[in-house]
Amino acid sequence: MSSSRDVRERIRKTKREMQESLGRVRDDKQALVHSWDESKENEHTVVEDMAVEEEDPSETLRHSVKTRRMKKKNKLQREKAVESTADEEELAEAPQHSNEPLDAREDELPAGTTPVLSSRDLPPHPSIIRPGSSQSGSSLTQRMTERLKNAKYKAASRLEQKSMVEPVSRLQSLRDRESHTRFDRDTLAMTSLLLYEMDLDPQADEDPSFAARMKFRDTARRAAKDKQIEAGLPSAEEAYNFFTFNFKPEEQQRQKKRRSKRGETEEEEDEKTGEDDDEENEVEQEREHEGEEESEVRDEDAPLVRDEDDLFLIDQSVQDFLEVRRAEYLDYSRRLQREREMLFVPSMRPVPASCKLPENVQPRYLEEEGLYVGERPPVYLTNQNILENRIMKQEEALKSKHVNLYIAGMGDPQADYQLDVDVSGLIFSHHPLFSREHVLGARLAQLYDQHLTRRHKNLTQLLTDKLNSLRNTIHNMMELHRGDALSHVTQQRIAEYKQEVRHTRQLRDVEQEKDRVLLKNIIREWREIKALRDFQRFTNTPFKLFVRKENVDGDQDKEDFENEILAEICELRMEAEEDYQNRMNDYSRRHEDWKSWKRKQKALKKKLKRKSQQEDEEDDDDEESNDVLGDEPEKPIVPEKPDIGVLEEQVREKAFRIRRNPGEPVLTPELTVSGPVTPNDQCPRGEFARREDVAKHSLFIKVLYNEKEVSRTDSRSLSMDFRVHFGQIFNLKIVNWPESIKLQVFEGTGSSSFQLAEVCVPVPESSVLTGSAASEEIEFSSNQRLSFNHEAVGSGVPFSLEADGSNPLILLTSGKLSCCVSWAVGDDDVPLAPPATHFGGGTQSGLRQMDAIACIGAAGLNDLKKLGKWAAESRLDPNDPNNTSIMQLLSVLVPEYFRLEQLQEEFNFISEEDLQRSRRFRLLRLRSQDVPEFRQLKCIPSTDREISQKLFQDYENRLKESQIIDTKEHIDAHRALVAKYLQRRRYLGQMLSDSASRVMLGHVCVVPVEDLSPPVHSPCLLLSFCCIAVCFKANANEQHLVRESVMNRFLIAKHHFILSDVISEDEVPSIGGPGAGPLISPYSLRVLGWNLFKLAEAKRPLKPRRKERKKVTAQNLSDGDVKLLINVIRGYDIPVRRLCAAAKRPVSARPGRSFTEPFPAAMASETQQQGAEWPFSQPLVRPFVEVSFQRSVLQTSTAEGPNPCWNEEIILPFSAPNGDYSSNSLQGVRDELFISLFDEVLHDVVEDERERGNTIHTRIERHWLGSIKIPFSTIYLQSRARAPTHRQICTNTP
Amino acid sequence: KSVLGTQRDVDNEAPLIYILSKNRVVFHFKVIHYNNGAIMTNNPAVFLLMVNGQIVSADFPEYDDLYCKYCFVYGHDWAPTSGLEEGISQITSKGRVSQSLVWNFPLDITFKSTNPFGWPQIVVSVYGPDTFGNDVVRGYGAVHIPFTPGKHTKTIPMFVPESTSRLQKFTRFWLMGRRPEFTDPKVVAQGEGREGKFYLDWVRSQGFVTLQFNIVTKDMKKLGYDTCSTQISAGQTTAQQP
Repeated sequence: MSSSRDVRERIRKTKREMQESLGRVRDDKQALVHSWDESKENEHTVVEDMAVEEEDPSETLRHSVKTRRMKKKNKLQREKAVESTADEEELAEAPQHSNEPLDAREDELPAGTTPVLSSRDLPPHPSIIRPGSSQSGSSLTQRMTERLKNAKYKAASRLEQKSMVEPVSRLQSLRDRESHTRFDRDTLAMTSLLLYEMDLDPQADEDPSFAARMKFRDTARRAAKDKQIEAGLPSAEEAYNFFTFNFKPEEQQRQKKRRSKRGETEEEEDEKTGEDDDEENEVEQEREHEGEEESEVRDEDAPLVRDEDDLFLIDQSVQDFLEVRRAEYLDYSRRLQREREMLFVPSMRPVPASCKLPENVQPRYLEEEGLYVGERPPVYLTNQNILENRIMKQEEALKSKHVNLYIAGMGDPQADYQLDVDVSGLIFSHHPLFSREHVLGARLAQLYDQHLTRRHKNLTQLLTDKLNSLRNTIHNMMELHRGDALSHVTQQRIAEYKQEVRHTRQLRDVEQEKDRVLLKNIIREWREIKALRDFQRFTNTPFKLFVRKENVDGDQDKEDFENEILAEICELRMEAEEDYQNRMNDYSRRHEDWKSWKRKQKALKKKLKRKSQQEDEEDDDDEESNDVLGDEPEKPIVPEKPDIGVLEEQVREKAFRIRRNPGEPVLTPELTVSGPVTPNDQCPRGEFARREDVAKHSLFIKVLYNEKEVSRTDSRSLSMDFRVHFGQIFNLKIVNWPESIKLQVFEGTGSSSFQLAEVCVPVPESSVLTGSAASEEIEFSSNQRLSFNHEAVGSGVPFSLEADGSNPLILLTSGKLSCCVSWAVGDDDVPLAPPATHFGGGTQSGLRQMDAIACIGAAGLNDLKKLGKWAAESRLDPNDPNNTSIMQLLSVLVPEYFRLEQLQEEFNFISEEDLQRSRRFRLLRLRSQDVPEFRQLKCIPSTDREISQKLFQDYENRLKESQIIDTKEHIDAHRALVAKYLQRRRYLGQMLSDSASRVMLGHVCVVPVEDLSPPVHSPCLLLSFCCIAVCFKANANEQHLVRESVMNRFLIAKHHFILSDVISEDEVPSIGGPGAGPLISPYSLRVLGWNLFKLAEAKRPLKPRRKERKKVTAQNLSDGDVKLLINVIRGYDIPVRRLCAAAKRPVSARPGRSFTEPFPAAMASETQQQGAEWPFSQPLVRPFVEVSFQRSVLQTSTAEGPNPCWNEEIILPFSAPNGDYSSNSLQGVRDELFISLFDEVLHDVVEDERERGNTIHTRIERHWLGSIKIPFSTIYLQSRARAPTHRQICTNTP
Repeated sequence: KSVLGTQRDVDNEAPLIYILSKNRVVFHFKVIHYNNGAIMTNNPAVFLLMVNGQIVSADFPEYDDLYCKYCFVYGHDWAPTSGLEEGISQITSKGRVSQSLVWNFPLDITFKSTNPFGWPQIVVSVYGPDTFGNDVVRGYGAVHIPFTPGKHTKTIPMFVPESTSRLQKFTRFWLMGRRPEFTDPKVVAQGEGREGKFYLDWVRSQGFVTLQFNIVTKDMKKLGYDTCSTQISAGQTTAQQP
């Protein structure tokens, strides 16, 4: 049993809880309302203050301080009110602090439940005092006694209760819940009590007094709100509101009111439910408690408030950092409104005609007047309306608001600027679809252009005139001062003139040489074109070069020439003499030095001698003197006297080289494009395909203004001469500042197109106007890679103008775009250009100054000099971090030269000279260049000393030889070269046809002899070429040439793969290949059908037909990959053994041409002799075939009879020398395939006749019947060699 | 002198041992050793690269019952001295739980070389049956042999060439059951011939193969090829493991 103190404690506690609940509930109702208000208010202020608060956190602090102050006030007020019950407060307070934590755990549930149960379920105790409805009436002592009584009663009931089974309480409570629905209005407090009981969960109550209260309050609030029974913790906000609520003094009044109300309802209930007496009593009791509570609540408030301080601190901290706000949401209508301010949405309604027209003007409908207006382009009415509306609104929509964004000075609506972009056309200087002739033609045209510009400038003539006038001046001066002593000034002037003459002469010589070389080049190109046209037998380009000859008077010419030379020689001689004089002076001076030095040395030597004689220790002295003397100066060499003869020779030689020779006519080339072009139907197929392809291509140009596409030209198809004429002018009405104007060249076939190149056009000066501007030619190029399988040479891929594929060229697509950008001129001849000040980099356009790209253009950025200039002009702030990159660039600035790969040096691991010198690197390089001597080298040693110089000898010798040929041949001998080349081709062709007839080279014959297109794709084809080259040893030199050219081709082809080289695929229905569209040609359908049919055919047909073997490319073969297949099918007329033949003769049919036939006489006797030896009825012959190749020997099984049928495939491994499977090494394989025919003879060697029954002992003999050897090269050439062995077999007659 | 002699004796025996394999290899082997003996080991003429390891497993989500082949592609200056240059593995199936195909197929080969150019690559090609039971290729892949000594695990993505036309794909699927293959798997280790638009446009990824290498090199540093710094080489053997 617990002590009385304990009991008292408990009682008090339960009571307090009840009181609390009652008081709280009531308070809470207010609090709720208040808190709601407050929270709303808070929200409001939060919303209001948000703008301020966000910037000023101190505001929140102030706020919190304010609330704290309010709370303090509150507390004080309450304390005042409670003053009367101070002693009680203390009484209640002390045990609460000491014991509550101990009790709370074990008695939680009972503490909560017991009072309720006792008061509700047990019969009412008679000792209950009914107090008056007011608390003020009851004195302190009275209350004390009441309390005591109450406690006693409660203790008793409690004890009783404890004896009961505890779980009942829960059931009870459930029942209560039902019951209280009837009294819900006035038993609110009870309900909340019950709720409290139910919601209490043991874990949450570390500090039960606080947590329980919280929970209680929460649940009560909910119950009051919607009568829903739900568990949950109060939110932080609620808790805060609760604890910081400012309890107002009216509270008491309200309570009174409520109590009076309650009294009424109680009476009603009394009448209503008489039987529920006990309950009513209970209510009465509660009410009584309430009376106490009023004071008690205050009692309890004291510690609460004290607690609150701590809690408040925590709450405050959370409050400071967390801002609980609603999500911001702009309601739809407001948003719409805001958007309406920003955006302009043109309406779709038709614009009334009156708005469209100026005032007092009537609309005029031409249709109605009977005029023909044509058909309008179809435009949706809504679109038209939108557009009209937009135009109507445009004035204010565009110009008024955002005008600042555009060109300065655009404020007045009149100022409109217009750029005219004239895209007149483009010419390709190289295009992937160029044929070889086009390439040459383009070169010729280029040279001719150069020629024209040079002739226009006529520098040579200019310089010659200058030279002459200078000479005359000098001459005149000399004349003038003849005899007189030349004054110093005149002398100097003459010297200057001479200097000038020398300089001018040099310049003139250079120019003359250039002229001459150019002329030669033009003529050479033209010859090449002619040779090519001759060779390919059609003409592709209309170029035609006329060379106009102007015959000159021979004598006069010669005289001039001589005069010129003489004058030059004269000058040169004078110069040389002068030079000689200078050098002589120099020499004499130095000689003098040297002499003096010698003299000194001699003196010194003498001195030395003397010293040595004196045998002094003056060694030091000697050294000193040596030091004084210094090194021996070089003995000067006497300068040679200038050799006039050599000088003259030099001059003549040079004049011969760079000048028109005397008597030679003046040649003036004239290029026209009037030549006839061979029509399509007379061209070979490759060319025809090329032309078809050209016709398919089309081009168009996009015009981009400030990186935005503004318009594009029509698509024009590419013409045969690779010129495209657009001739379109685009008028760009501009509002933005022109930053860049770009033209993009697009090329397309059919519907697809791709960008070929992009050309930046400079923004014109404002003085460049449409009428007067000259069109510019801007070069463009593209790095696309294209190759074709017809005559076209492609771009970015190597091709060769030579027939044998040497000297490959790689050309990139390039061309010139002619266009013109200028400012338009308005109707009233006013240029529609912005004022010049905006352009000139004047003071006004500060922005432009600062922006490098705007100032010097994007292309200028690559030009460091321009950039440097700009940086200097714009006075960049070097300390501005934005400019660091530029400043850094400028500090390194601007070397006078240009490096393509600036960082290359860093990556060189060895200097270039070392690389050249090292034998190892040289070897590695040569190997990677596929030089024939080194191509097959393996394991190049890792150090230089292991490589002997001899390795390079062959190669160097060969180089020397070819160089000799090169130097022998001159430019003028080009025709000879072409002839030689043609000869070479013919020779090759002849050889081909030769070989074809002799060796039956199946597919090689297909190669057209006169076909110029070198990109032969299949290496297989080339292999055959190779073979031929080696096969025929007609002429050593010619053979060498052929081999070289074949090797060239082979090397090109080796690195040129086609799909089938890499991927093996069923070649089923190649429907046009990729990208050809979904069209199914009848051919492919047939193929498909055939393949379907093939599915049904037998896997191993009885009579198989030979199928071509798939060609294997030679690039990545290794040992074991290549095998020799020998199909031994059958033999016939194999000679039979004589004896057997004789024996069987009567039985067997006569074997055809048996070699035994000639000897019929000898047969009879031998038959008898050996008849016994052949007890097994062996057939006439048991032949088998043995095949040997490269040390491996294989044989077939043994067949029987003179007409055997083996039908066996023998597979022999093949290994090439050194694992090199390239064609030329395969060609060099000297191995031979031996096919021998043997007869297998079985001799019975069983000696004992008795053993014959169970033992077999035979000896196998093989009798050689004949053999054939086939060289490997034959097999290699003819993938199929039917070896008719019967012809060559030679039999061994016994 | 006597040391040299014994070395030579050993050398004389070497051909006897290796004559069973390829003629060429044995010949080279002998010569090299002879040189080594004569010039002394201080100045080696070649360096050696020893590759041990295995083709561990593969991930091919869609396929099962696969086997693989491997071969090596290497430059002119390289020669295998011992070991197998190519091989073909067993067929492996997926487990009930794990989705990877485990071969654990061993690799063991030693190369000698004078020049790191053309460093060997291993080319792995995976094959398996399709719905008709035909063996078709399921993936090609290649990777360089790691050049630092130590243990390395490499996962290489695999791909196959695609049919060049839709119809072909269709017929392949319904009629022939053959898919396009490379004529030589070594193509995948070479750049040549794949730069054009023909080939690279037409491949499809298939899965992954995981390889494990244990690399030992000899005389690389003596020939001036330093593949690993001293600090890293100590830690690398452990750090490289995934």
